[in-house]
Amino acid sequence: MNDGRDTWRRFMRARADMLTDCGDWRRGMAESLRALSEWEADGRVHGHPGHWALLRRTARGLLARLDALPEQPTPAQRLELFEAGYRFTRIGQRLFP
Amino acid sequence: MTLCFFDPTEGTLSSGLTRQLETLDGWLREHQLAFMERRWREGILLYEKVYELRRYHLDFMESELLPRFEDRYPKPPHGARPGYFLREKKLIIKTMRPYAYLFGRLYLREAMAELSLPRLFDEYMYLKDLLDHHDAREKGFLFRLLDEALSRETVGTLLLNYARGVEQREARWL
Repeated sequence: MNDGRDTWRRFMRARADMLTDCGDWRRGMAESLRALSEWEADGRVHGHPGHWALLRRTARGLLARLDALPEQPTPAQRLELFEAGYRFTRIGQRLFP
Repeated sequence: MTLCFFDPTEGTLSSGLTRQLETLDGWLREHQLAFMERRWREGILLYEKVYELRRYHLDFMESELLPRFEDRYPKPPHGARPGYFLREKKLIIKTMRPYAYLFGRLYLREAMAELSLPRLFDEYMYLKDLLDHHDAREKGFLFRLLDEALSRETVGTLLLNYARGVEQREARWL
């Protein structure tokens, strides 16, 4: 069963790589955020429906910020996006323990 | 080099000390950017300066500003009780101190690569919230109300003393 943990781990890895501009973090973030923004948890996955809705909404917001970045974001822009993702990581860690 | 970012001969506590704190916030960000680019030595130095100057600022608040505030406002407005400022001072120092030691230890062992930047920067989110919260309390109550209650001469003397204290600390980074 795909319970979203792989997607979540992919997002966390890409977010970490973004800090040091390592590898194709942009693609990793975009694909994982897109998947998480549409994630539908089935009955076997724990978590309150409101938390899942918040996760999807926050993922969409982050995706929009990621799309708005220039092709070669500055370190300051990468740091800003990293920090903008902090709240998202708190939500995700509750849903993907 | 000067680590005092306002002109102590003019202005108010609100304008001078707010400018000082905002510059330190900018340096904390510069420290993060330096670490992202593995400019470890520069990043550590920036953190040390922010830590020392924050400590200095908090000591000054406790020894110079709060006693005058308590004297002028024996019944402070809600949210401006001196105990709140002191509690936050302890929390800020307790949160910042371990990093200063950690960075120094790792650098001496040539082991900065062991540092997990994502974890560190996520931890900083708490620190930044704490600093924002405390600074807002200082700007909203302490600086503003002292500017209103104290004479221009007293405010000028306080700013001058603050700047002299900063000067004394500059020597360690020369």
